[in-house]
Amino acid sequence: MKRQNMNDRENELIQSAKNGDNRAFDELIRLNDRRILQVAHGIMGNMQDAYDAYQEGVIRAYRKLDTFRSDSSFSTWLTRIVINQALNMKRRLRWKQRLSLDQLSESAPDLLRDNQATPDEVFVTSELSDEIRKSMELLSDRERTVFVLKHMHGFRLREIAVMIDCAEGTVKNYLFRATRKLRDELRAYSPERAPKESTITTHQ
Amino acid sequence: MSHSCSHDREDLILFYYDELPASTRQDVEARITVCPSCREQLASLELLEAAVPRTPSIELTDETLSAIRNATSRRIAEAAPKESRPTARSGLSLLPRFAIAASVLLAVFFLGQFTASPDQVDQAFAEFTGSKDAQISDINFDPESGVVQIQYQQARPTSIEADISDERIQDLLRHALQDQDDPRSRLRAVRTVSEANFLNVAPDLALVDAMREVLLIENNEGIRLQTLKALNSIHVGMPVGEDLKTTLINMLTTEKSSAIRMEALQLLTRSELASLELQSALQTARQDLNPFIRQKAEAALTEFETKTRLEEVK
Repeated sequence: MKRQNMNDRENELIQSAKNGDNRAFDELIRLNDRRILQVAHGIMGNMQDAYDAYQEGVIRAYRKLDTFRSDSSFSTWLTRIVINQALNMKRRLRWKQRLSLDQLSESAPDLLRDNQATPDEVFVTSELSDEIRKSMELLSDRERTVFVLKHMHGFRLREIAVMIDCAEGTVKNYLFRATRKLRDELRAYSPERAPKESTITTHQ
Repeated sequence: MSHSCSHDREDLILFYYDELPASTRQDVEARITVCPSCREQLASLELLEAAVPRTPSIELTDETLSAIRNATSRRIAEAAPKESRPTARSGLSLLPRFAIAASVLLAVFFLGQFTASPDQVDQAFAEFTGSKDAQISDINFDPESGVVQIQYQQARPTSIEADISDERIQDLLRHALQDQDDPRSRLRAVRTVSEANFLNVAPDLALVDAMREVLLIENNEGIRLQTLKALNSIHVGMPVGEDLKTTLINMLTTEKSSAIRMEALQLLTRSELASLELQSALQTARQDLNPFIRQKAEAALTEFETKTRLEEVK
């Protein structure tokens, strides 16, 4: 019943936002922004870039709201747009390796512009060691995205497939590869804790 | 002591993430109880969890979230007047929109051809997307500056200039690709994408999607070929999406033009993973009438097999 009420409320907000009510759109974003920013952070690796990807994604969602057709939930649709934005931005940043943090800071809110702190230091981050961060960087963008969505956010594989626009089988493959790579890296960092190398050689 | 087993390791990952159907889950549970090697594998996944917690990598305080919300709301408010989507607004808010429209019309009337300055691009873009009659008449790209000039006809000719990385320019290119009335528009848009090469900017995914639609519905072989070339130029180092992959596989097996099949094959081999569908298409392409395509398909199959073997060794 509660879920039904939420859906009704969301549908009302979507309709109002489509009719030009910016406050309704703001409210739709507020229902999702914490989680989506966290997903963007997982993909981008730092809050500054995550913030940029998130904000550009939200503006894009605003511009494309007319194309939202309720085939998926608003949350999935919005997450998909922000993920696309983050992946595009990752590629762009790789290509423009010289892009400086200062340039990126121009459009960020004051909290992100603290000269004394790196962007992430103004947030409370969970304790990912440098080694783990480096290991995450070894994953391809899509492997990392799938891993973040599954491991850290617990989305179902079929939801992730919609979010990154690929088949569920492909999502599984990305997850397998990400998990294997990270596990191998972990073995290298903590040999005393890691299980012994398995000699499994064949698959069913 | 290490153990060998022939069990599916990938099942264990799905088990760990609770993605197995109940029946398979029971089988895996039974397997873990009797197979030490499977237990080791599961333990290694638990070790992963110890290192990378199953929680988001960052916590956002309410204060931070509030600052981000305010900044985002401001951006949305700034974007609002530029929107073209039909909106139900009060009578009062119609006034500034009318004033903007009137000033654009006056500028067009006095200047004959209205060339939008960077500040006016938004306005011209909104005018174009808000009009049912506006039609793109020409597209020019300057490779040195990266600037695209798009001319459209409405009441008078209007020209919009901006960098190829500009989201609105990419949106206009998408409009041109979807122009059903004028194949020249589609061809010019596709050539612009090809020339722009997108080495320094990431193309809008909606633009890539519009190009895929061109492949599906375009009758003109030349435009289909140019579209594939453009897609090839922007997919360097970027995997091909599932929908596009399906379209390409279909083209590889049904297109009459060997040049088109060749481009489709080249694009397909940019995929990170070789699905069964792709492998099957490549096997068909090994029998292609064109010897170059046969050779490329053979090489691609060998490369995918090597990749798969390497993955299995890992």
